[in-house]
Amino acid sequence: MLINGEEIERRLKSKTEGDPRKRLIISPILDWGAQFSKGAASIDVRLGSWFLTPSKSKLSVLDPLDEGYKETTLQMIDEAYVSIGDYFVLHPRQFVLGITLEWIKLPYDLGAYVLGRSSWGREGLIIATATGVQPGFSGVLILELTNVGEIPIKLWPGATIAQLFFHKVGGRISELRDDSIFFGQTKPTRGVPIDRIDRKIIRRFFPETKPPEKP
Amino acid sequence: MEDFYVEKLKERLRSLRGEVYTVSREVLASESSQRILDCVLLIIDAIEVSLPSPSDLEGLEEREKEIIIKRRSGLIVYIYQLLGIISSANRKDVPLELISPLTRYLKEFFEECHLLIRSVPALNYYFIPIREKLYEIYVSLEIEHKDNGVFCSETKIKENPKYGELPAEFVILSIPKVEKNNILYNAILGHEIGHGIFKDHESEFLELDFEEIRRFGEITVAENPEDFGVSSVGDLEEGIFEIMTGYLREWREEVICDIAGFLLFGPAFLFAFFDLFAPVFKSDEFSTSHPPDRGRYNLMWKLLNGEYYPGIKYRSKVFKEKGIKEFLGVLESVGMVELEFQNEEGEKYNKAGLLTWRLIERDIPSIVNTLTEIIRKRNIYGPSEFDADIKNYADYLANIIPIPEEMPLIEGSVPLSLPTILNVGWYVCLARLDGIVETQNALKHPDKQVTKAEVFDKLQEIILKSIELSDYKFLWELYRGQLEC
Repeated sequence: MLINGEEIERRLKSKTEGDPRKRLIISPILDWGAQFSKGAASIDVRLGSWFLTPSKSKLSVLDPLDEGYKETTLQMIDEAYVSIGDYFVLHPRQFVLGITLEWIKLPYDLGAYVLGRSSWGREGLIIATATGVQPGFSGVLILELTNVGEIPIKLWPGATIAQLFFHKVGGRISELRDDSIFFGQTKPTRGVPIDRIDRKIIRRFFPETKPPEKP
Repeated sequence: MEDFYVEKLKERLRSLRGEVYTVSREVLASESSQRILDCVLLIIDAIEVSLPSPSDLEGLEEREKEIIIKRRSGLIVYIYQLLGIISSANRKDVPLELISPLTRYLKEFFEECHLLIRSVPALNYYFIPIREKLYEIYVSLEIEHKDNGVFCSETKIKENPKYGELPAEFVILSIPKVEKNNILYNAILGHEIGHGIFKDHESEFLELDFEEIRRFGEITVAENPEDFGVSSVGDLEEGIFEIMTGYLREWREEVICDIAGFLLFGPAFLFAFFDLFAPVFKSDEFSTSHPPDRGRYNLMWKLLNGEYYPGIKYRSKVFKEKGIKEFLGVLESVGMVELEFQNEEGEKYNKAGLLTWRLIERDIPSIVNTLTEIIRKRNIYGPSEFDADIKNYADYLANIIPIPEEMPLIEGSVPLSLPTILNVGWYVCLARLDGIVETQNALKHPDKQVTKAEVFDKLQEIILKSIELSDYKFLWELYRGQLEC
């Protein structure tokens, strides 16, 4: 069930004391009037300052089955910090990772979906493909930004870029066990798309080919 | 024919001009860096114009020629040094999220400044003011300028009108490169701000003339001759009060800066200062410019306990929490050990050091009073602010949630200040670290346990995020306010 603007606002402003992990936090909200409308069932979030771009000249291919996948790709990406007032140009067909300016903390009884704002979509900017935010999440949201249009687009940190829809989680609410070292990402990060165990199993389907032995 | 040296100097100037463009691409783009580089270019142009022509040198002795040419080559060497300083304010070495918040915070104290932040491989924070040197060069190159009361001069170089004026002050702030990710150490900037405050208000601090210093010295020695290894004042080595006068000038400024740092950043300043320097520097050594660190630690300990200024007494119950209690225990024990003045120059200097320190200790209440008057009330970070901040925000940070603004959120939440964020940060790192490790591990799969070091690093990241986001919030409100006006 989607929660409406009034409920989002109530939860954000709740003065209930106690464990901050049980609160809904979206901070900083630079402009309540512009980002938040009681009539809507969402809140707008802004583009943050960090961008991650793959360094094409150093990468030949992305192979998630590689044992050193994470380390290799980490070395082959460029980080860029663009403060508010400056911009990042996203060229046609270019893909970058960005972040929301806001820190998002979901309580365990709420999940969320991130959707691009339609006005950006009409310019050719695809905002997010992995849109689900797990209950209990805490961190900046990573945005996968692609320009599918024909014309380069200037991305201005601080601009409202996406919207968050919240929904209640059904069933028994429990704290999540987290596989990563922390939630709490402050910059765009990359992960390994294929799980470690899956990777090992998939590899077994393709045993190393050996040259036939001499008769 | 062009003189050999003049020709070579022209080559150097050409290289320097190229280097200015290289630096301008690497350095963090800001109005300040642009202004400094514009001044450098102006000076390079002015040096080139001022180089002697073959006819100027005609008929001169070799020695006379050399004097004329070397006057210019000295300036070129300075330009090399300056470019070296500026080039370290680059995108690789400075925590980028810190630039705007630190600049904004420092500008509250140095309104007229153009500030550049760089990181250097040194274990210290320090300012390099470059206006005076630039001014000297302007004068020596006869670059015309209009004096506007302060040194905010308008140059009148017609060929280069875009270079405009030399601002009131250029300051380059150096932060330690190795510790650049240890965000909590930035509270030490309070000391550096103290130097600026001191320079602006020097006349407001009590200054003693030589006779008063001598009188204090004689009375002190007469009352406690055994402290100075003599039986009467007459046994003291000659020249001791002269040495004392020299120490006093420099040490007093350092102590004023320490107190300013404490008044601006509260316990965060003390924690940062002691944590960074105590393990590295010897506590009893002193120099002409700096008193022994042990005395400074003791001073801060006493300030914390309201011994010099009862209005600022930290009674916070969080000081009894494990972690903080241990930290303060070490600080107290280090500060309480009697100072042994150690200087390689000899016993006379050690006695002068001890006398100087006694005089400074006597004057500390008056220094604190003067400083609290100077630092506007809103800038003083005191015990009530500390208690409220810990109560309101420590739980958020301890749960790896940044604190850029007032929590819980309200419409129009105020962004939190740099001292607030750093104080909460220090408290959480000292007192709550073990608890965070425990909580994190309780949430994890047993084979993916986090360590204390990982939690500490993550906290630094979250503190940095808090500072970055609070700055954005502050500036957003400022600019929106300006638009509405």
